[in-house]
Amino acid sequence: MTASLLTTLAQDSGPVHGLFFRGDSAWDKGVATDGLFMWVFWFSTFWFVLLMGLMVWWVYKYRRRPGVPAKRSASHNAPLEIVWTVVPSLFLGYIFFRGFHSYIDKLVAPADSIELVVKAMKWNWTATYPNGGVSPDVMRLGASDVPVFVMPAGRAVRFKMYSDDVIHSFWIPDFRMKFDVFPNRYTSFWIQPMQAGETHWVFCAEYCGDQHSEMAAVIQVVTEAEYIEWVTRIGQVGGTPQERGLVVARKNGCLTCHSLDGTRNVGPTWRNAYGNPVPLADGSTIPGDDRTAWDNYIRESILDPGAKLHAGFPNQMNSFQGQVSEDEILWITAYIRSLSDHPLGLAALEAEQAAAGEGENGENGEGENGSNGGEN
Amino acid sequence: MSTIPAAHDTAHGHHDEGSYLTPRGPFLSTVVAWATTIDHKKIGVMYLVAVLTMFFLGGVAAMAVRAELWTPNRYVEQVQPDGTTQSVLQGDLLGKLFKADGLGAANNIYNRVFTLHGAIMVFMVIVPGVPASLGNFFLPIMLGAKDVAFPRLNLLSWYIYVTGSIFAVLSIILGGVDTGWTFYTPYSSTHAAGHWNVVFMILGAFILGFSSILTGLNFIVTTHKLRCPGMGWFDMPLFIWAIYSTSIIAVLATPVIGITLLLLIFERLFHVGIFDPAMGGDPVLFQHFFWFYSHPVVYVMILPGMGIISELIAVHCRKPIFGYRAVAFASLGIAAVSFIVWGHHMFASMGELASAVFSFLTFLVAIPTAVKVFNWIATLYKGSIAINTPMLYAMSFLFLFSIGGLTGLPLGALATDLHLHDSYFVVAHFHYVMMGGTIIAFVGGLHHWWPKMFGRMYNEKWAMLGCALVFIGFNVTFFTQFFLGTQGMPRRYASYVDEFQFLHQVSTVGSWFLLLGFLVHLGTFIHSLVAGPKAPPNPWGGLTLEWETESPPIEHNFHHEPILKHGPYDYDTTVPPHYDPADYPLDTTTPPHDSGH
Repeated sequence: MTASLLTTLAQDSGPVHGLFFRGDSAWDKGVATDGLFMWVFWFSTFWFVLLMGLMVWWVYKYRRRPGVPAKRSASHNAPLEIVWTVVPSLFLGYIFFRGFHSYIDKLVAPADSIELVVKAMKWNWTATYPNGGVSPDVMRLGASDVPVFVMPAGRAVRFKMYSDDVIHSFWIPDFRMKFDVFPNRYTSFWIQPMQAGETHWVFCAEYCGDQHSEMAAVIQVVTEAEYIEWVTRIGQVGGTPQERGLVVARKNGCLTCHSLDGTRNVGPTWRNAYGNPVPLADGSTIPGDDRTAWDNYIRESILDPGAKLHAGFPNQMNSFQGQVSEDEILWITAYIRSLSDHPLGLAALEAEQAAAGEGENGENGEGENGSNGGEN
Repeated sequence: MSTIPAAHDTAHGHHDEGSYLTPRGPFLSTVVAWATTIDHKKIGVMYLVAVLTMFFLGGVAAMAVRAELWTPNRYVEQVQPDGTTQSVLQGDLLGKLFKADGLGAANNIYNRVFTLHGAIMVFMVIVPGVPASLGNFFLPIMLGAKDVAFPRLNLLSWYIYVTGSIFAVLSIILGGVDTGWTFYTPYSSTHAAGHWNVVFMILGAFILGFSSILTGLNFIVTTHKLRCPGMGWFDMPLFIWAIYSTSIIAVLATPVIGITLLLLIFERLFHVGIFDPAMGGDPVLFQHFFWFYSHPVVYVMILPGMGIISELIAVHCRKPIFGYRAVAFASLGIAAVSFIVWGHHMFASMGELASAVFSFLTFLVAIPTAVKVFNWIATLYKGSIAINTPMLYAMSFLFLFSIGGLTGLPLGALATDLHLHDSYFVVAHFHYVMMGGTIIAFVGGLHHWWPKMFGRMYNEKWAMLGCALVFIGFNVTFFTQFFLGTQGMPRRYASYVDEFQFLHQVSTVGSWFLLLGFLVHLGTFIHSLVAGPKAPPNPWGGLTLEWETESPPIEHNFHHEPILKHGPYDYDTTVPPHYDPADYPLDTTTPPHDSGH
């Protein structure tokens, strides 16, 4: 039977599979998806070659030549037409069924999955782990630094996803899976990474504006033990204010638009900004060498981004009113300070913190992100 | 046999009447005469010019998109003249061209350009293209009528089309929009930059909808009421069946997009919460509305192309289309099923039950489409097949459209779609269907009917060269994109990871061949208009009514109201088999006016 032949081809299609996919899928459900894809591919190839072969052969054979009279042939043939309607229909029914079956497998997560809350926003992904921790790691992918999500090999991971603004779509090509992310509801699917040491791209697949093509992430698969150590570490919000500021900045997607290395992005860079004068779009200036002016400028730009617009930059940023606490604003300010070579920047910050002595130097201890340890 | 000389009959006498193209009076009054004409042929030619102009504009945008994707955007450390090192953005071709400052601004330019390409090609080229130009010109003639049922409405449709296009162009002049041609909310309603640009572009699409509705209405009534004596429904050429089915879809579906776009403008201008969740709306509602129109419209785009292919294959193979009734009913079947498959654009946003139902229905629409392809190929069997440009285009269509159709299967199946959705696989798939289907059929039909429309033959060798370049360029451009999609390249990306660069460059090289092919066609057509030999009334030996009038047709199409004596493809009965095709009576090479008498 043709169907079983196709199934055999689909399973054992190394080089052709390699043309379409970058290696085998990273989990068994994705392998099943590839199996269906390759089945459809060989099924299509069979029909395509048959039809095109007939077309080219007949066009050649019956090409118009002087002295050769036209032949007569039937203008219709009901049994033949019924056969070529019904037979493909059966195959299509089979493809539908396999597609549905495999799809349900990929949507319904096992009960013991780890749940990651994925937040999409223009133009960044953040994943909050079960203990409240947010990944602080980044990796350069293309032109931007993108967040790294660490996941344990062999454990099911379920994504509970929502968006802060427009529609996005969470696509992990190596897992052959994506789902749209909406501002007014949760959507979810699951994956199960298999091999520690692998990294997998995540792309935004639903057009979301200027930096759509930069809205990516990397999934890093580690062993269960490494995962527990890592997730425990990120669950403990602590360290210096500037370290906490970096975590808050990552969590809120600040770094998609504000670079840390001086490059110009959608928003002004944070490198060497603090303490220097800032020309504003309305012609006025944030004065340099003025801590109060700068601290207020940062605060206002977070809560009401359009109020003092940096000259030469679009008014693109959303307000973070209600999303970022007063403490977090202090931490982000400290972080931005730490990036500046201005005398009021890193040097002054370190001097202050040294004067405050060793030990706990956060403004207060009760972080918003839950300071408890891992709960695994 | 006795019916064949009909073409010769029309060539008798009346030599002084002149064609519809003959200028009446001085230049200025000729222009006025064209601008106020109610002749369906002139309106068809005006549509052709307008549509080809927009095709050029959309094509420029397409070339820009491919050029930008030659390299990804990257920051590179560069030593400045003053000795310091600075991170500099490279690879943003369009960004540099338009002096964009930084990565976000550069990406934004790309986003505007691909939106421009998509919106123009869909709303101004592919949707109205074939029905409004070739349909307008040939529907009445093929029915044996003097004009469409409502000639003034027809002229109004053209002006509405131009008005809609002007709004779209205005939006571009104001800076363009970056929403994508799908205008998904809430991005389009609240986030996209350039308030009035968005409103004007949407308004343009809204206005263009009315042009579709009026043209569709006109064609439906014309088909019902103006068939010439003797022409029953099943004596109609398949091109008419296709245009008729298309018109039904256009009339039924277009109002939905009209209302949807209007709601979008309301939300944008007056902050009425319909689609934006921040105002209490639902963004998925927009997607349902949008695809409830835009999916049927996929068939508005492809059915006329299928109609053209039926004509090309029948005429150039000198055979009746195999299973004429099956092909005719397949058109209607596709039109009917097209209304209940819109959800397959949203498998990545809907629940399981809805997805399962829509996936199942989607496979239903594949069946009549496949049947049509089988019928076309079966028609070739034992034909008398001319190897010329229209036939090459028909073969290209079968090749490309089959790929387009078959690659729809993994998109219709749920598990594979969740991987392929919104990837370059989809981009490749719909280009194979819309461009490999509709545009290829359009260009093929243009070559087929060019001698009839303008009374001049074109250079066959150059036209075949153009066809070959388009075919090769098309496949190089878009077949690579299937691989990009399965490997993980999302659509609408201004940049990409390094691993995709090779395939992107192959695709871009393909686009240059595509461009070259179209330029060859343009040159061939211009040469034909200026210096082409005069076309006989029936250069291909077709049996449909348009071949019984002169080339180009006289103003009222026929000297006498035609009476149908044979079916559109009755080659077996009207052409005796012992005839040597070289002496085929209709295949005259001498101009009709000099053919004796």
